Amino acid sequence: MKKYSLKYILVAAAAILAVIFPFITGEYYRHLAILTLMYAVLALSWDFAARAELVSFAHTGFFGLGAYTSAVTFLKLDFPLYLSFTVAVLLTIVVAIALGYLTLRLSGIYFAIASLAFSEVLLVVALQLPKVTGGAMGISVPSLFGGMRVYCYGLILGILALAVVVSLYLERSHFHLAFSAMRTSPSVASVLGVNTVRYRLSSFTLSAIFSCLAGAFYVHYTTTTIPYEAFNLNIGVASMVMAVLGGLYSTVGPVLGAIVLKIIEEYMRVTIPYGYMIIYGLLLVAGILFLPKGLVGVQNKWKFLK
Amino acid sequence: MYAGQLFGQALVNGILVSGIYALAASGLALAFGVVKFLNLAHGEFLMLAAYFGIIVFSTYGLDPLLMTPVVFILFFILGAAYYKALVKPVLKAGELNQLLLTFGISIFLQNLALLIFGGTIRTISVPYRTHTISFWGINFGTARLFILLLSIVLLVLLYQVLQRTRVGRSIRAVSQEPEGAALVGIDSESVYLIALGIAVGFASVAGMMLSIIFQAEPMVGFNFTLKGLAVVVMAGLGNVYGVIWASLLLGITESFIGVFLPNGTGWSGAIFFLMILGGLVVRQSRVRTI
Amino acid sequence: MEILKIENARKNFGGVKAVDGLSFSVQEGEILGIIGPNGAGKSTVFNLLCGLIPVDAGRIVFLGEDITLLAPHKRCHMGIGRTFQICQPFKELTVLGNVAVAAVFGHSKPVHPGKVKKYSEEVLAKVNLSSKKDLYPAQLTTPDLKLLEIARALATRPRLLLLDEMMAGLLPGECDKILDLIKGINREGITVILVEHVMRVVRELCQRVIVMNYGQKLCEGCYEDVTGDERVIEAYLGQEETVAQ
Repeated sequence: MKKYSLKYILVAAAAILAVIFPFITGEYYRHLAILTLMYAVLALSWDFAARAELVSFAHTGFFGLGAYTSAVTFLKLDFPLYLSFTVAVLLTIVVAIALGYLTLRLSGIYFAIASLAFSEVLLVVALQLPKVTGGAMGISVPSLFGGMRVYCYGLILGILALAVVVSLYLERSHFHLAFSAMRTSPSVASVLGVNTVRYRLSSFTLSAIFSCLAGAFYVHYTTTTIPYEAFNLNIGVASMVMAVLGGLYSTVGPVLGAIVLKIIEEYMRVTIPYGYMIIYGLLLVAGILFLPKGLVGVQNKWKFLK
Repeated sequence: MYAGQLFGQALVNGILVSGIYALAASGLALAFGVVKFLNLAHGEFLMLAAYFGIIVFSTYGLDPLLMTPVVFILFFILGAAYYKALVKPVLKAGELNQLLLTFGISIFLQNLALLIFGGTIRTISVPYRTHTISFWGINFGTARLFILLLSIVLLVLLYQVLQRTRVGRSIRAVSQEPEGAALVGIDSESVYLIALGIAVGFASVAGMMLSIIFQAEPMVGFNFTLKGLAVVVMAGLGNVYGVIWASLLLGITESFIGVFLPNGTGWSGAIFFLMILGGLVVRQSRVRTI
Repeated sequence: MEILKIENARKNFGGVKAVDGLSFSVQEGEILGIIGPNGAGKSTVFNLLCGLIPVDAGRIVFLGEDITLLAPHKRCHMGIGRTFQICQPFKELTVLGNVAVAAVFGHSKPVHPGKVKKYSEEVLAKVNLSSKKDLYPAQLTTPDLKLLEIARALATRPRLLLLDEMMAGLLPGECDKILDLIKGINREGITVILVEHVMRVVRELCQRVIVMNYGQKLCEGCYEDVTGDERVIEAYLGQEETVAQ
């Protein structure tokens, strides 16, 4: 009982801190916090796919797809912000389900390679369709909420809160059982009645939706992007490392990983240019070799059946 | 240039470049086929070798092609060490860990190169770099021709080793029937070590070639990993012999798209990804057994 | 009543005919044994029946419905449960969690979410694993893992249970316990097909035995008849699992 009450106090404190943070800090920290929250969304979204044993590089593609769809509909079709986000999400759902079906039988590394190829094809398409996307010159949108960082913070915190709710649901419902079973063996899971196709597609689609939302937020927040930035593999990699290092298959892990790594990154960025990506590489290697369960570890006991 | 000539030139360009693809991909295929290990950091060894070639050339004036035997041996040892230190611990840990580990190494090496060498593109100006010979109005870059020939020699050598030597037979045995190979007393551990050594060695030779006909930059390695993957996927995963025609297909397709499509060079970058996607999707119809 | 019928099923792997024109049917309530030398195609038959591998040709009918093209999970929902020769527990889940997967997903009418835990515990009690419900599979012994396989299959509430070499790797005493368990399961009205190498088990359990060789049905009948058949003895010659076990 004691352990639980402590946990709830910590969660409540974190939530309160998250809400009041922009009001007690300056612009620089607000900006940093916004990016951290965006990465937390991405890290969680990557973890959603990982839970169904999908090592996906597709979230890079969906991040870019979200960014470009919402920017283009906002600019060229004069959609209001919420509608441009909605269209981006809808398009993402369609693409994710199509890609999911196409790669249904691919497992492990084969799926990873295919998802990487998908992201890179999207990059080339963005570069090669300058009439729509602005090509290599990129695309610019007016600043979000007139540049009021507090509102931006509120929006991304809202998106993260949604992702956390989804994640908690996945962790505590029948999804958790299905995912755990599929991670050991999809065949055995299916013989025991798990509709593996459905769970695989839903985890992949959920992952895509939140990557897309992060991307759509990103472009409006930074007001400009180019294909090499929106489809930059480094963004995907960073969120992957955050999830792995924080602890896979959990809600706290990816969020914690995002916070820790973003702080390290910011420190590194100031001290050694380029250095922070080296750190990401090293942390990924070290994490896999020495800390396979991440910072939080897999705490099966918290979940289902208790 | 009339159309036939253009067609011929595109074909020749594609063939000339495919040798380097085949070298890079055969290492990837070997590691995948034998060790059942996908090395996403494969291209980074190629990138390191390219920089190595450039440094040695600019300091001592040694032609990279002449250095290939030495570089091969050096990188063979590097590959063996890589296996011992990093690959072996994750071999039993599952695919996710292997992928993330090698990807981490890849990112680390890319950005290390970026830190040390900067983002600028580097090339070597060997005397024959821009020299060409012409047949029927079609230009053959001398350097590229050399390199294609060298690739062919090396690939033939690899196949001969795989077919005719004791080591080669052990490698094939482990790749086809790991448990059976263990039963007849083949030490899979040393086979893995040799296979990864050869794989990295071949990547290094491709890297030396790269420094002559293309250029070295921190990202070039990953690009070659991806192209190598496209070749390996088309050849059939782990199939070392299928690498040749798949490399030819990739080289020629890229070349044709670059020449004949409007703004084609941009699209040719998407080709190998479509080949990966297509290749995997077609091959996935094989049903998983337990 | 006929619960399952397989007609002229074929499956090739590369050039190898793993199952070559096999037909048989199963009556509701019986225990059918499938025996045969190694590589005869017995496990492939199970994979065809539960849907993990599609047939190249032929038809499978379960409870009067053609299930030839049905996905594994749908066959499970209809009432086909199976165990695996090599135990394949979900290693990230506890024993109780393993059974809960089957309880939650294994039937077209799912167990009420609030009752999953209680239901899973009941199934575990049936196979005598209650004391180990909170352990992880890595902490279990081989006999317990076999029991977990059975518990999971039972939790899907099957009408037909496919048991793949339950006795492999067990001591005689441990075999007896599982033997009694299978008898009990059958008494509850669950039809059983078992692939088995331990002939004593086949003799004690099966009303009817099918002998397979090279993917085909060599002969069929009661235990005494098939083990006396000359073709069967010939097929087993040179095999280490002799009939005399």
